[in-house]
Amino acid sequence: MTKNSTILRVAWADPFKRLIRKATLSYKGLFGVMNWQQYLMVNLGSPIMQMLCFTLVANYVYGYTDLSKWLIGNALVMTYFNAVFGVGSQLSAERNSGTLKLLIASPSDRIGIFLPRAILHIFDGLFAVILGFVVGAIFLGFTLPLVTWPAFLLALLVASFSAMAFGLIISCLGLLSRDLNLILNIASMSMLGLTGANFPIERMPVWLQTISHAMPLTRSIELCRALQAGEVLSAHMNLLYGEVLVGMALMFVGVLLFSFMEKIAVKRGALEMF
Amino acid sequence: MISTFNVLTSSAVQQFKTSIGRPMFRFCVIAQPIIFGLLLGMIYLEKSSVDFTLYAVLGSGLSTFWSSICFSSASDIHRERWYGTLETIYAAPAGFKWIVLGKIIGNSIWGFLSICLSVTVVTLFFDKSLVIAQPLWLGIGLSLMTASLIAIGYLFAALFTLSRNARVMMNFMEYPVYILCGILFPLEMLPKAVQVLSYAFSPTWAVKILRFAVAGGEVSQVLPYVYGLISLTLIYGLFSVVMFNRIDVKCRVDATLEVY
Repeated sequence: MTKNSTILRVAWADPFKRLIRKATLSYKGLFGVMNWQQYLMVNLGSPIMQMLCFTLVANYVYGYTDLSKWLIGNALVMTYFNAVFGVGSQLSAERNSGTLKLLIASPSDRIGIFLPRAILHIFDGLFAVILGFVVGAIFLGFTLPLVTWPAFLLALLVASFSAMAFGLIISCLGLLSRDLNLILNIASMSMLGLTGANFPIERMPVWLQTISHAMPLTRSIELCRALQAGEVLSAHMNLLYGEVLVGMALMFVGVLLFSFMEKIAVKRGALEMF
Repeated sequence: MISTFNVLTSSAVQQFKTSIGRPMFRFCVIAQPIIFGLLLGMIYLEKSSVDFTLYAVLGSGLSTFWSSICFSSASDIHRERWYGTLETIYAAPAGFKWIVLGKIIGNSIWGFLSICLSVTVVTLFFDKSLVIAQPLWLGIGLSLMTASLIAIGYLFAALFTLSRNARVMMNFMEYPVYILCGILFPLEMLPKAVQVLSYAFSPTWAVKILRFAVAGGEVSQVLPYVYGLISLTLIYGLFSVVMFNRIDVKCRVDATLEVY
């Protein structure tokens, strides 16, 4: 191997390694203080309990025949736990640790600071949803035809990506607000209704339906329900592309919002805890 | 006796005024009843008026009351520990257990008000008639349930005085109680073995009384649930007192009143 090719390889690999390092560090920073029991209880226990609870509510209200439909909706909503409480609370957590001002003052580019924080949560959210389906299969008789697994997995990955992009927008609010809990919880709970996970979207007023269609997960839930019903992915590519577009749009807005709010936070002196 | 009453009242009033200053508590007693009420109202929109009243109206209120117990009464000890004030109130001559009980009463008043907010929101937003066949029993059920939730909050406060993992626990115990106690759907949806376990939790008995108040029936049908709820509340209360007496010694031995 020549010296030049080694330099090229390092030049290519270095940003990637840095990205992974930033993603891993921010994830560890959030959950590192917990032992594994606490991690499982907070990261998986609560979301799965929420999923079971609302699926059982739907089971009672809509009858046994539609159970899978509502299980899928509530399982996908679990990604919001990662999006809102994981990604969404990161900048707020930096402030509480006293490191937000260092982060803002660092010479790194803003996208490099901001985007890697969502990466591990995408896969963590995906894992939570898959575990939710396993729990659904064990306790509620959920089944998924083997042939649809690859398409279903792709839909879940896209869903988790767009949910995390939403989390990035929430996290920007952490630059200005010293207590995000109220916002995080309202955002998280609203998703139970706005995504169509628990009742048909048509029941909402028209203006709320418009918001619902602009939300991440609404399309993914519809797509996953169609796939579970035996339909092919190619017939619903518009939903998949739509979800990717929503995720990318949210990520773009998140980056703009981050730059904008960063300036306001510096002006207001809101980077410190007190 | 009068001084104990004064401690209880002062602690309850102070807690009532200060707890609402916390955003998380504001979420529990203001935002959650509204969001939960609207969500459950949408879900139960096409069910019967009895189901709508019981699960969308009262269920959303009860669930938010329970959340306020989880995120306030149970977590107040945790908060005091982080503020570094737990040792101070523990050593206060007024009596630690009375101060804590006063705090829980103060929080529970907010919890009860959240039920009223939930009922108002769901009634205003949905064009559904509410059914209350036995209004007197609704009052009795809500009063007994409030007393029982105070007892549970007191018990949790005792348990969490010893534990430094209160925050994790309070996050986890919210939904299991919604499921186990039939707050958002009938208990009969659960497997028989789980139903047996449900009766160890007093909200299950309270929901049965509220169901009677909504759907009506013979008084003899509801009396076993009233006795069951009162008995469980007394057991929780007694267990809490025993726990607080044991804590008095154990906290000093294990030195768990500090954050680290």
